[in-house]
Amino acid sequence: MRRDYDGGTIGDMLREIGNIGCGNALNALSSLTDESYEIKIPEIELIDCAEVFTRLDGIEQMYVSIVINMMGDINGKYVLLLNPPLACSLIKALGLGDAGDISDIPAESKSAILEVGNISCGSCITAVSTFTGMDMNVTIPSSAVDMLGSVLSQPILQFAESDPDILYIRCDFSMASDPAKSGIMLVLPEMASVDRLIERFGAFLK
Amino acid sequence: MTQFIKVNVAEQRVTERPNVIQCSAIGACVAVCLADKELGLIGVSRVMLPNRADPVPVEAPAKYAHTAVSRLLDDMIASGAEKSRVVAKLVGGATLYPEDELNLNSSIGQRNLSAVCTELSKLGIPMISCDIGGDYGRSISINPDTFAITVKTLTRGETVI
Repeated sequence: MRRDYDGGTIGDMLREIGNIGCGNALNALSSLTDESYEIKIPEIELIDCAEVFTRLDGIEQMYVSIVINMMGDINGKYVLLLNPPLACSLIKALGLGDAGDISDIPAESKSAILEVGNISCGSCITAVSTFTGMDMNVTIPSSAVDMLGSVLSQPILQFAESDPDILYIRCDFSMASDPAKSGIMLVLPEMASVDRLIERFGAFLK
Repeated sequence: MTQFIKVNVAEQRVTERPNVIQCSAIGACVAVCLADKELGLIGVSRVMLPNRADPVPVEAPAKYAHTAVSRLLDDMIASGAEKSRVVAKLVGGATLYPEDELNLNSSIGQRNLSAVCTELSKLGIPMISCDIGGDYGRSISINPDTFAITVKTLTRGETVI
């Protein structure tokens, strides 16, 4: 039988870890850009991989994605999705001027975007790793600019190859001064890693 | 009245004229489109993964290439299609992050494409046209009368295959 990942004490624990990770990732973004962000309560649910695509609105809207693989005691993926206004303003905040057409961004702006992903993911996993005492590393980030559904396709399908289910941890956020600048953060741990985490915390959960 | 039928990831639908089938934001998935043009009958299976070793649960035949294509053909035939008239078009199988799969010989999109092509040739269905690969997403809309597929992209405009 499947564990009750999204309810009960295990759900609360995972939600708290999600909160800590997402909160720290956004703090990092915030200090990078000198802007504060409104953050929604993270959603956490165990779903079928194919369902990820039906849960997002505006699947054909353009998004800038940054995908990072997490490795170590916790394996999985970190995906940061930025809408074009937010991506442009992050590039500007990093001193690279107007990005103009985000679908055709110059190399230095693209590396700035990758760096944004790196910094936010780094803060997220540092916080989670400190809190849980688990070792975590990350790979170099990769990025794409396309329809929301398309930029998510490859990472989600890679995931689905090893496990049809996914623990979907999602946190929506937007710039406090301009809510039209928004993004989505997805933290997608492999189920085996989640089980390892639960075992480690098992003693406290009983 | 024309209905616009949306097919999501790992789903399959068969319909006839005047209904139009649409798939939004295809990335590494492959939309396998079949038609019996004489009847104006079209079907789409939005394949998510190449194959799976253990048996595929009956409720998800469209998810894996090795069950999706034959199931779609069966459903076309059950709706009246003549197997000898059925032709295929493929869309999708893109690789948006090439650097992410350097350790493998081919990306998930390419593996999906080759699995689907193997199934089509096993079943003897000719593939008459395709818009596949590349590093960009696609949305499609299929005309049931002509089997013309309009492929829309964000950065590369629109084509008809």
